[in-house]
Amino acid sequence: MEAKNVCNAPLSLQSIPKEMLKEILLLIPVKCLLNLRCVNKSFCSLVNTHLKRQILFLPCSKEQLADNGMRIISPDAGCGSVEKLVPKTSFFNEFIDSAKIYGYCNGLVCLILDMDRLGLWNPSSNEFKILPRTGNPFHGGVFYGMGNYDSHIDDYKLVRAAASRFKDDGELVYIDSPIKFEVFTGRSNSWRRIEDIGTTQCYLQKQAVHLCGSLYWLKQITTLDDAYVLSQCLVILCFDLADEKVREVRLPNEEFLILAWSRLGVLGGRLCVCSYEETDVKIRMIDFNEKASWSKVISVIKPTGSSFAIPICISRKWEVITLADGRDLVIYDSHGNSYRKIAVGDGQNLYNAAFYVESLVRLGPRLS
Amino acid sequence: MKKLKFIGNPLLQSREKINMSSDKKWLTLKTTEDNEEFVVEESVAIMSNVIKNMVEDGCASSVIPVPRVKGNAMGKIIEFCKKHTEESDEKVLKEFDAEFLNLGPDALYDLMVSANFLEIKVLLDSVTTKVADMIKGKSSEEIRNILKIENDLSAEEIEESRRENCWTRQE
Repeated sequence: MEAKNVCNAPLSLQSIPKEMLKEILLLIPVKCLLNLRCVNKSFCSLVNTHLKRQILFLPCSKEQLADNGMRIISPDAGCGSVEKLVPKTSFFNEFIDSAKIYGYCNGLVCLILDMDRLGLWNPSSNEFKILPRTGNPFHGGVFYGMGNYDSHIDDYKLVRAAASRFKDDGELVYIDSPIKFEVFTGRSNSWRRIEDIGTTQCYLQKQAVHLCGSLYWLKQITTLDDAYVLSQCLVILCFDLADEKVREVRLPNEEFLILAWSRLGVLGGRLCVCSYEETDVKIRMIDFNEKASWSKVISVIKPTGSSFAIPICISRKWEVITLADGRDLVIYDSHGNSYRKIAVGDGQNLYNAAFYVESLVRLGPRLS
Repeated sequence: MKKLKFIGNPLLQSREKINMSSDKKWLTLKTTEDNEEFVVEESVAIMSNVIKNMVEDGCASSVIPVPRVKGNAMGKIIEFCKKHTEESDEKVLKEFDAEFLNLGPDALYDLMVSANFLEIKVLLDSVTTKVADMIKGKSSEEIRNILKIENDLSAEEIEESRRENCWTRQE
């Protein structure tokens, strides 16, 4: 508000810019934010869309889940204290033998309950939902991606891409593996088939990343040319959540990139390819203009004695945070010159970690 | 009526105005809304990124006009910056901040907006944390009272939110 204030007129909350209110919200724990929703309209919409950034540590087995629960840490608060989050295991009772933790998707944890069913769990609101069957149990690899809660449609979307060896009529294919896409929306509570993408032998990375309304998977295409020479290249499969269209973008200069040692991520607000090399981890940020090109490259040296360091996120202070060997958080300062370690695993336990933004998205009626 | 405020020793102030090779530089900040002038050490003033940039760009020769910030807020801000440049003991600063920020919501908003405009990160962080602490753990009614916010939600909307909260916090 640019109105010239009379010297003594006080400022009201309405005149405070949204960005500053967001900064205040980030300092408040999620449970208290629930109260803030009942204060007034602008707080209500603010709370629903802008919540804290967290790192969630996912145990690698459901036994670990039952014993230790999940842990969360705040990257923007300097990774100070580790909070323990113990989910109610009654959620998984029905599927306790076959349930596997698949991963995280934008504030929600995804679990594979059996061949054909997914479970979604929101750690912030402690809500759990079992999704209906897709009607297309996977034969080959299954890949998922989760879109953000979209306030325009007041809904969230989940995408399932199954690379199947079978065509719709049951015919087996050896070279062209059609990738069948299905979309699930919270409101419809059902899966809907959309277009297939037939490609040559390809391998999709399991977990999609989400950025600005699109989902991205890293894909490796293997081609056999007429002289029977095998060549491989990496592409990014982009799925636009609004119009539900798929397109492929080839990555530049990928001779040094191998799918096995590369991973897509969203770090520092940009789409990146993280590649694990001998002594360091390189984070290459991608610019999408007409074609994909590399913009910034950040390189972090693995701590001595560690074999594997996965970048998880970049804090607001430009510290690169990685998970080393499934046990330690390694936080590099913004110049990449020094690092500090925080142990988060318990002894031998191996953790996978995911960066997410807290969400109060309703998954649907709770399973009692 | 112009009011000239000296922060620091006035005797030292006048001597240094003549001595060109003094190691302490002084700046005059003038709030354009109410025409109050403040004379501060440059080292204190440059806690504001905005003023720091002006000084580095060489446009801070005479009087620096500061729009959008009122005189009493400016005075408080200078008091804060001065303490933070002089004192390096974390504990002392923490106690100072707690006392300093013991203000009503209107004054806090004023400080927040001014600190944001002048880009004084330390002050902005302190005020933001203070407001967050005021909200944490309070019911929505209490929050409305503390922050002096009017309730514009309908009875149905409040009831729906309350039901949702019960349900998400259960278990």
